[in-house]
Amino acid sequence: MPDLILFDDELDENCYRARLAAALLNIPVRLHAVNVVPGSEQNSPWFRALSPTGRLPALTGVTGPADSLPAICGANAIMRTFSALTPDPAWRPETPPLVASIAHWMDFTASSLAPAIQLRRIAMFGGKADTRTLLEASHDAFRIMEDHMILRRISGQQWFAGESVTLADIALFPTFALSRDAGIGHDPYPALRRWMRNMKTLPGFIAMPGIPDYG
Amino acid sequence: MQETDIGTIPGWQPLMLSLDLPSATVSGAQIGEQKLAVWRDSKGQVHVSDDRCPHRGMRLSLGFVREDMLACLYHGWRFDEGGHCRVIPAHPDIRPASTICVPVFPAREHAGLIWTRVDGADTGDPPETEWNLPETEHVTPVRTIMINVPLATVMTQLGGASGTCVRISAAARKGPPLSLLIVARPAGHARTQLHLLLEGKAPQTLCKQAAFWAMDFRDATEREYAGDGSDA
Ligand code: FES
Repeated sequence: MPDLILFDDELDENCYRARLAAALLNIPVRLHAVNVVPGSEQNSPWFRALSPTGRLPALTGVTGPADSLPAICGANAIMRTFSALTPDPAWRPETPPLVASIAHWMDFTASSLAPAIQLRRIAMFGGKADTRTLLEASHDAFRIMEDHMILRRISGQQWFAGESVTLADIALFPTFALSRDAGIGHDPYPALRRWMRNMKTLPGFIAMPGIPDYG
Repeated sequence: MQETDIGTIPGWQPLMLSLDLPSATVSGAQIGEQKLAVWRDSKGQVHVSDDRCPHRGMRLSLGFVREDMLACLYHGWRFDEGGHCRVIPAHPDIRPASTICVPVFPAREHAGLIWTRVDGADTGDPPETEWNLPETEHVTPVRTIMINVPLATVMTQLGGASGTCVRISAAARKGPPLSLLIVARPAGHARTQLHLLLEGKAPQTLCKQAAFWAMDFRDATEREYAGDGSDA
């Protein structure tokens, strides 16, 4: 395994996606903390050299010796990188319906969950936006997830795609698990609550501040 | 019918599907102004208490279940099924005073649903009598669904029923009509919670159709309500 360095902000949920994926896929990484709040270190020249848009998380050491090329940036890219690196082929499904379904939910995370991610960021660290619209959009997204997991439960399945946990679950999990930070409770989403509990019992699961690892 | 009225909602109220409360978990619920923590112990027994921790008032429904006690997330105080505080982690050697307790409410499970009442009345008639439900357990729970429309409007959509428990025969997207049992409750301002069950022992295919029906019904009802609002 190459020497991987994950540039990380402990309180950022996208960084948590990458840390959680590393833990569950058994990928050893060294964490390098980037001081985002209050340091704005993501805008410093040294970090911009790695991640030109200042985006976190960022991963080096995959494409060559650390730092010789720009980093792999963004949670989805890093999760996919980990699935390519892990010795466990279960994280690299090949059947077209499963590949498609995982891609669908990872894209959903990046697009439809963006309002909920932004809403939490504002609640935690401040910022300005139309929070009412963000709140509505967050509920809309969680409703789509709940509807899906209801149908999955009726079919005897417990994960978003396929018969076992996939990158789709890891991608989706942090936003729902952290939704209380943004003022969105879990009670109206019983199917998501059950799925969240299943995630927490996975071997290697790690929590982050705001997500109790029991319950 | 309006839960926002002052005073306590009388009678048994459905809280959630039994299957949505696995063993050793807790969930929040609300009847009128009364916030509740609903939890299931490891033996499968359901308990309902006030949602306020007597320590610093945090919500107990955000906590967890340990050793058949409801534990508060914040400082770990644990409450037994009678609502008595049994464990205070910061003072492991001290037996908590019997005055430290959280109010509890009666809990029942019937027709695939968890019921409680917060009116303090002696339990009297069981929920099935009050709600005119089948006496037997021969129902198949499908799901709980939230509709962002007031209860009265939802009931009109469901065929003008005046009560909050209706039996309807609904057209499925595919296959035979569905014999649905719907238990409805107001859930805050202009929101309705429907517990959806199928009569009899229903196979997976019917459950799926019932789940589709619920989504279609919710979406259509919300669309119509939103349309009404903009016309007015
Ligand atoms: S607030 Fe519940 S234990 Fe402190």
